[in-house]
Amino acid sequence: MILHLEGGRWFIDVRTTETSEQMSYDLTHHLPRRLAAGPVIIVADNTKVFLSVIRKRWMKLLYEVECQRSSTLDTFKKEALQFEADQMRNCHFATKPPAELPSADVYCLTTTQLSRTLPPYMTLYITTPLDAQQAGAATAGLKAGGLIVLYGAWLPEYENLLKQAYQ
Amino acid sequence: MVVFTEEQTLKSTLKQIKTSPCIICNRLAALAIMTAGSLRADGSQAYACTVHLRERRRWIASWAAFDTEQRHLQKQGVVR
Repeated sequence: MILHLEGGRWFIDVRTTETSEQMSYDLTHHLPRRLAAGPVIIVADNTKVFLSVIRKRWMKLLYEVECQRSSTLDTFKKEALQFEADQMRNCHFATKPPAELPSADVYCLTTTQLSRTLPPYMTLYITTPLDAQQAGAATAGLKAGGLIVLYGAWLPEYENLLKQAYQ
Repeated sequence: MVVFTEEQTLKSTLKQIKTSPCIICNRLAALAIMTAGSLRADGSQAYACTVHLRERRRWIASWAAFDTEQRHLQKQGVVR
């Protein structure tokens, strides 16, 4: 579900997934779409475990992209899937904040790591419930036109995000 | 009587009225059933129906094709 008003500041995508497996599947398939837009921040509870799940799924997805590429004779499709595979292969994930590792494409951070200053980014995945202050810190560096993908229920703590998004 | 806050009213109104074409099935759909994906060559947001996330092959192929098309448009200087 997308909440957006013409001329609004951010897009908010609220997704309800029943299990953490569904969430990691959804996130892994959606993430390649956002890589070209700019850096990505994922807020998670246990970042090391979460990232290892994502990376495993990522490799599976990459294999599927390569299989599709090798099974087509269409030059345009081949080029498209080749680019997709290259982009996925070159994507760098990190569990350290940008201040410590500035070259990564995707940062998987805990709520504690959010308190530090984040450089501008275009996509934010929220996979764990945040309080109002954490939500504010998480969106502090989100650029105009950026996307917030929120997994789980819409909490009263997020109401401020909605206000900011439509400013 | 139920009184809605300004945000709640805004949320429900948006869910009902805002529509966009899906880059996968090309149908015009409400944003309430869509997800935001890549950006178009002109910098605007492109969407796809959330349901397509389950059609793995189609999801991968359609977005890859869409992104390549947008890159070509950008190279040709058609947009931006």
